[in-house]
Amino acid sequence: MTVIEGHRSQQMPPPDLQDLRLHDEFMRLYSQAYLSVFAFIHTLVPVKSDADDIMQQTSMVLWQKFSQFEKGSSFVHWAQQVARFEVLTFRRTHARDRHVFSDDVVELLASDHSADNPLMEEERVALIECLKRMTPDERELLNRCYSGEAELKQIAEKVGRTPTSLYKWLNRVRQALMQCVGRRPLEARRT
Amino acid sequence: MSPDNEHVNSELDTLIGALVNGIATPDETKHLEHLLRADAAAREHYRRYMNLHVALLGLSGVAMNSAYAPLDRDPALTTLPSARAWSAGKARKRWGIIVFATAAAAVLVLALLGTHVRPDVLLSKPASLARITRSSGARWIDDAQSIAVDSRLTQGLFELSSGLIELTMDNDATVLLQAPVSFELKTSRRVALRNGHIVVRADKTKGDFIVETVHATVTDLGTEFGVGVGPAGDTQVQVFQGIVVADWKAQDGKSVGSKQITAGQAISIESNVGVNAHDIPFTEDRFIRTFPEDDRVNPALAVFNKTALETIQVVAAPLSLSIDGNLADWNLSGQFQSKCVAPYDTTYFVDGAMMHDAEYLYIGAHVGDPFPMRNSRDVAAAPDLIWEGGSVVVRLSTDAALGWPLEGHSGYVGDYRGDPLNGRRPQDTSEKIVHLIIWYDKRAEQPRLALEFGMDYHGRINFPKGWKGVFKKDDNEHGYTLEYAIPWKLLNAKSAPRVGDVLATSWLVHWSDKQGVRPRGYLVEFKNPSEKRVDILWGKTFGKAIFRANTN
Repeated sequence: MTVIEGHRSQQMPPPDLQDLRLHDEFMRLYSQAYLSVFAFIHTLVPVKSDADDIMQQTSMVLWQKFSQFEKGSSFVHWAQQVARFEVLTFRRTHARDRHVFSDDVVELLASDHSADNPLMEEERVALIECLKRMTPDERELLNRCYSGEAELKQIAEKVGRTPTSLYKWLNRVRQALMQCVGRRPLEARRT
Repeated sequence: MSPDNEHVNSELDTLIGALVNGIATPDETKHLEHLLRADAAAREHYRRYMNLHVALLGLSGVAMNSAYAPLDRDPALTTLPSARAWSAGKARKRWGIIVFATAAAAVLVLALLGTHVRPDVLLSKPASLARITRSSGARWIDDAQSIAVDSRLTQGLFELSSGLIELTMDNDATVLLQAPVSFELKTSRRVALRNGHIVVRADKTKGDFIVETVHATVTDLGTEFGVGVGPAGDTQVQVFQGIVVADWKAQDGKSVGSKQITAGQAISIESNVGVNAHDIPFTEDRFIRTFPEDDRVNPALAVFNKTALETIQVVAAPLSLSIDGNLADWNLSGQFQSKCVAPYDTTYFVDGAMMHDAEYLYIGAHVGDPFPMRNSRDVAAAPDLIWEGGSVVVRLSTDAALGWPLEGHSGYVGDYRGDPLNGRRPQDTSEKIVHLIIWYDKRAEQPRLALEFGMDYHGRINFPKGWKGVFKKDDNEHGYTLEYAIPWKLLNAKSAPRVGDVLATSWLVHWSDKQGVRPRGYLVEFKNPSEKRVDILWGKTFGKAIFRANTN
């Protein structure tokens, strides 16, 4: 049985109500925006460990500058602006050989990215629905490959395939999902 | 998509796949960069691919195993969620750095607030106080995975970002919490509510149950009551059954007033010049009686009942029948009942019935709905989305030759993906598979009916002619009754089905927000018991409509 622990005990002094409200508001907006912002960063920085570092740095800057966030405006848009700056900073401060894309391509990708990326949520919901349509083997493959618990090579060994065939299989499954996700927002409207 | 585009996208997918898997060669990376630089469509495809990739990273685990369905989840397929990220280093690697980033931000927030997490607190094992006995679309604020039932919660602070959970405390009290809510479990009989809503059902014989807020202490004396805390710390208390005592306190914590509140009463405790309390009207939907207003969960996927029925008996209509919104003159021997799960069961339900005669199909229903007959969607502007504003959708095959299970499907379904006739077979596109969308148009103040046909949902008719229908709101405005008579010829039936015919059917009841615009949840009934759930794109999942002279 899973035990979920509260993050503070009752001995902790209660925080100031005003700060608490600010914290609550920030965490609400941040959790809603998280996937959109991370997708934005990862699009510009395809190396996941780098994208993770930038996301972490971005989250800190977002909190530090939260007082500058204009209430009522788009948090995602604001967060993506901050993230874009953090991506540039990261590229400036890290070795050139770690960059996947050149500056002009990064700039193009960032410019293309719509402010609130409204399809992101729709796509994510569609993805959940599309996953139901995959075979158990396909879902298991995705689960293993995206759980971060093992490298592709190790997974291939476990399932008795060569890394190349596993990789091809994964690609086919992702392509099927891409096609399904493209259709699902329309299908959902037929309910 | 043209074959050329397909080829380019396939090439892109291969290159991007190699990139995100860390096995792209320098030449492949260079080629991908060239494609992205040259073509906006390639960049859009790349963006969509990366969105999918990130979503998969976020969904790995529960969602992939259970293919998220708020209440239809098969417990056997559900893996337990990760421990909360900032709790004693229990973050799981699967959610990895994403949770870590969130947790880092949260810890940072706490640090910046000057409330650091003490190592001794983290290292000590707090007492387990409650078990999660229900979870509906629920997520902790720091964890993208759904909260699974049967997990236990310890002493401490919790914050729910979406959905609803039910806790069974170790003293057997039941606590319902609806997001957004922040609360602290102090003991098995004491909860501090920092903001949001809570409903408690407690048994006096198991001891008092106390809900604390910044301004009040509410002591239960064996009852069901709700407490809400607003952004400014104002506290609302409402009693559904029994008695509670509310004490309100000044900033220094000293009690400055007290009131006994009985069933049907409500008060608001506010801090203005001092802390004061005053009576407010009791309203049924103030506390966790209506579906969550959470736009992050796609309401199209938010099924709130456990589909249990296989068959509806379509009985013979009486010779004399008035279509007047009153089902008293109906033959209700085939009536079915279905309700959403608790705590929504008393608010959202349907008592439905179908009857037949030589000329008409009759559909009647009493629907529990806290916001009845408010559909304000514009059918002319977005006909496909009219159901979102609140509706009853009945799907029925009117051709006995199509049989049951109904073999038609939309072409988007699993095993048929490679079939060239995918979704284009006669049984897929039959005009005799009819979808009846029934709603009350608040803008025009008229009952409405729209029709679609086949499992491909073609030939939509927004304003068919020849049918009769009436909606009538309940006196207490907690629901409505609909009564419709629809000619068989409108449903493309050559003649009325015969007694003994078994046809495929399913019912969906959609509920909306207060404005009658956004969908909030739905109930679905009549399912082939061999199937896991009703899929509107796959006829074989539908249940049965058995035509009777009367029920057996």
